[in-house]
Amino acid sequence: MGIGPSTKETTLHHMNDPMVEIVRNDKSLDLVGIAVVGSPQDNLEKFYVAKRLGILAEALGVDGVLIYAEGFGNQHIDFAAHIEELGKRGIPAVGLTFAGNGLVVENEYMEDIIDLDKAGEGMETEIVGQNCVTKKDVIKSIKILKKKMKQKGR
Amino acid sequence: MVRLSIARAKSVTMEMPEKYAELALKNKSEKKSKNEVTPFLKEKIMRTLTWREYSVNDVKISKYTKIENNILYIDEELAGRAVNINPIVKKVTLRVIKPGERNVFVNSIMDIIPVAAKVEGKIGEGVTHFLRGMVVFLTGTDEEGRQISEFGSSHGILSEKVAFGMPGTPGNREIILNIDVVIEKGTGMERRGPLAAHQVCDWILDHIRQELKKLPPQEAIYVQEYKDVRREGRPKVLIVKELGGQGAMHEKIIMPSEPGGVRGGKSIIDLGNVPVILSPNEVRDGGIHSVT
Repeated sequence: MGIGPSTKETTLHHMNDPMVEIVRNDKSLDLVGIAVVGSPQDNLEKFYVAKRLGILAEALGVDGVLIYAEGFGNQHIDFAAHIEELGKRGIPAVGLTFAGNGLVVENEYMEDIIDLDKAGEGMETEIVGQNCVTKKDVIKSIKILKKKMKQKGR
Repeated sequence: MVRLSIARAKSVTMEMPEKYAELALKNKSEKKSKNEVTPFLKEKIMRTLTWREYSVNDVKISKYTKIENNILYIDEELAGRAVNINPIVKKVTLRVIKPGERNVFVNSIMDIIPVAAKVEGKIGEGVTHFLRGMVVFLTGTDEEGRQISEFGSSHGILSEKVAFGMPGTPGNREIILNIDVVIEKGTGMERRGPLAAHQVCDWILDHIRQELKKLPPQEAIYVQEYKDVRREGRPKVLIVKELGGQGAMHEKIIMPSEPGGVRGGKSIIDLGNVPVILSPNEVRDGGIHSVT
C-alpha cells in the first residue's frame, strides 16, 4: 500500500489546496499555519514524528486541528498516531483521508474521520486526482471542527 | 426618573440611592456580555503576496523559448540539453496536448505542475507571475519501458486516466505540455530515479519562467493580493498535511526557489519528516513540490 494515482496530491493540488483557501478566508477562525509532516517508512519513526506534531500543536496553543493524509494503508498508522497525540493533549482534530476498505488502525480519538473516496469503490482507481480533498469535504470538516471546539468551550 | 445633561464639565460626581445604582450597573454588564459575542475583529497582516496571472491560448514547440501575443513558444533543443542535468535521465520528449486531443496514450503521470515564477521576493511574499491556460504533465518510464510508478500506475489513455476539474488537475480547456522522460533502468523504484526526472523537468520550466518574469504588469489578465492574516481572539486552527516521505516516489520538496519548483528546496526526507510550518501564502505560492 502507499500513494496511488487517485490519492496522490499533485504540485497543482498543493497550490490550489481548497483546505488552505477556505480556512484562511473564514473570518471566524485564526489559522496559525500549515504543518507539513512526512510519513516515514519505519513504524518507530512514524511514532517519532507523531510525537513531534503533538508537542508542536501544544506549543502553538491551538484550539483545533484539521489533518489530512494522502495515500492509504501504512500511511494510516501515522495518521492515527497524529490524532492520538493531539487527542491526549485535549486538542480536537478532524481527519480527512481515503479510508479504502477501512483504516488499518484506529484509536479512541478518531471519532470524526471523513472518507475522501469519490469513486465509491474502496480501492485505488488509478485515476489521477480522483480521491483528493475537495471544497465539499473541507466545508464538512470545518463544520465538525467548529462544533467540537465549541464543546470544549473555545 | 433621573435626567442629566451636561454641556461642558471637568469633574462630575453623582449620588443616588443604592437600588438605582445597582440597576444602572446591571444594565451595563448585560450590554458588555452582548458585545462579547461579536467582538471587533482584529486582523493582523503578516505578509502580502501579489499574484499576477497571464493567459496563454496556444503552446508551440519552436526554435526559441518566448511568450508573445498569448502564445508560449518552447525551444525544442531544451529536450536534448536537459539530459545533461542528471545522468540518470536518458531521454526527454516534449509534446503539446490540446484540449480536444486528450484521447492519446500517456505514460504514468508523475506530477501535474503549473508554471509560475517569482518576480520579487521569496516564496510566500513579493510578486508572482502565473501562467493561466496551460499545465505541465510530467510522465515517464525507465529504459526497459517500465512505468515510473509505485502503487498503481496511471499510464493509458489520458482522458480516462485523469479526473479533470479537481483541485489537483486541470480543467477541460487547459493546454497540456507533456514532458516525458526515460530514466536509467531499475531506478524507478529508487529515490534517485523519480527525483532526477523532476529535476530535469524543473530545469526546462526554469527557461519558461525566465520569459514569464519579463511580462509587464499591465498585461496581466488577473491580479490578486493574498494576505497572511492572524485573527486575534478567534479559535486557533492548525492545518496538518501528512505527506509521503518514504522515498522512491514518496517525497516532497519543501520551499523551493521558484513556485512549485524543485531547485533550492529541501526534501521532506532530508528534513527527517518532522513537522515544518508553512504560512498559507507559502502554500499558495508553490512552497510544496510533489515528487509523489
